[in-house]
Amino acid sequence: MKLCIAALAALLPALAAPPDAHNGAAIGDPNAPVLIEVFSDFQCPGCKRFHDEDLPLIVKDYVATGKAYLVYKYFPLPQHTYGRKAAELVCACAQIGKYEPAADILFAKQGAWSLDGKLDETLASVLTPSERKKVAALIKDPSVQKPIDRDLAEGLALPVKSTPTVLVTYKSRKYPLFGEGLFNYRWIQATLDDLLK
Amino acid sequence: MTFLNKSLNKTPAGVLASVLRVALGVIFVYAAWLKLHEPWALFAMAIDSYQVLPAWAVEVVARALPWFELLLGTLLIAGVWRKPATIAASLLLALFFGLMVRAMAKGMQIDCGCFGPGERLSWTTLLRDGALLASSVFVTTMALRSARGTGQVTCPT
Repeated sequence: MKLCIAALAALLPALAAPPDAHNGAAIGDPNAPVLIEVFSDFQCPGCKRFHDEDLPLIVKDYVATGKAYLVYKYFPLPQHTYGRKAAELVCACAQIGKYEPAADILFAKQGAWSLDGKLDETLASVLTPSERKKVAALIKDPSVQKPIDRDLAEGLALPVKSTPTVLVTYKSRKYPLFGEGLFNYRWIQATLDDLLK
Repeated sequence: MTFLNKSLNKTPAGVLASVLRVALGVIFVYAAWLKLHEPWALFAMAIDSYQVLPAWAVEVVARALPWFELLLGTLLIAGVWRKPATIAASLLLALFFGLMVRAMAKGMQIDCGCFGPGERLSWTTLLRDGALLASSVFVTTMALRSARGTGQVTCPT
């Protein structure tokens, strides 16, 4: 996601906007014509693949250019032992403006913490000691639990049956995208270009 | 336009075949319209999820198939080129059914791609496609019988 950060530097006015209803788990211009919502689980291998391969390209081509507003939706799957805890930690990090580094490190080291559950230790590399204290204090706070429960409810209502599921909204029309085809960026690109032309 | 099968339209089976042919035609036209109404890449994404074609072929199919469905549906409704149209419909539906069975057997959580984006592959979609296939095979059989029947000796009065 280093590419994301570089691309987002061009978006300073939008990034300087006040915190939105997505509790810091959103990037780009909220007034962009396309809304992209990503229902994802930090312990899901497909979500890691999407986060590592497709998301940076979406951010570079559509979010950084003001064409799309990207919102992360917490969708921890019950079969993933550490999925919920990872979501809580990232949501707490998002509250202190550290969503991206937290999400990036958890996806980058998914293989390790999925086995040993050492989430706090994994996040330590992107947080200062004082930030770690803040995150530890926030984690059971309703401001962290509510967004996760809200996103889960939204996802179940869609319904999200596999992760990642991407919901593209353009002019009030919703396009849920999922399945193997989601991992081919050319289809995402062609879809967004077609909508925006 | 010939909406009813001339040689078999007097039998209940002939009437049923004609009704099913027109219904299949309407369904094909509707499926085509839904796909043509949306960005073509959404259909490409659904096709790609089945993991049977390379990307270049996925794009060709995603762009061409809705137009073919539209043509096929129009032919079925109009009742022209009945024999090739019904055979093509049956083959196409058999192909769809086979791909769906394969995906279900592999436990794939994918978009059906049947009627535009967003419809998940499930037992319902499989049953629906199976019913369409059975109907199409029946209509094809009746069309082939009708084609054979035109060669019979008649006695003009």
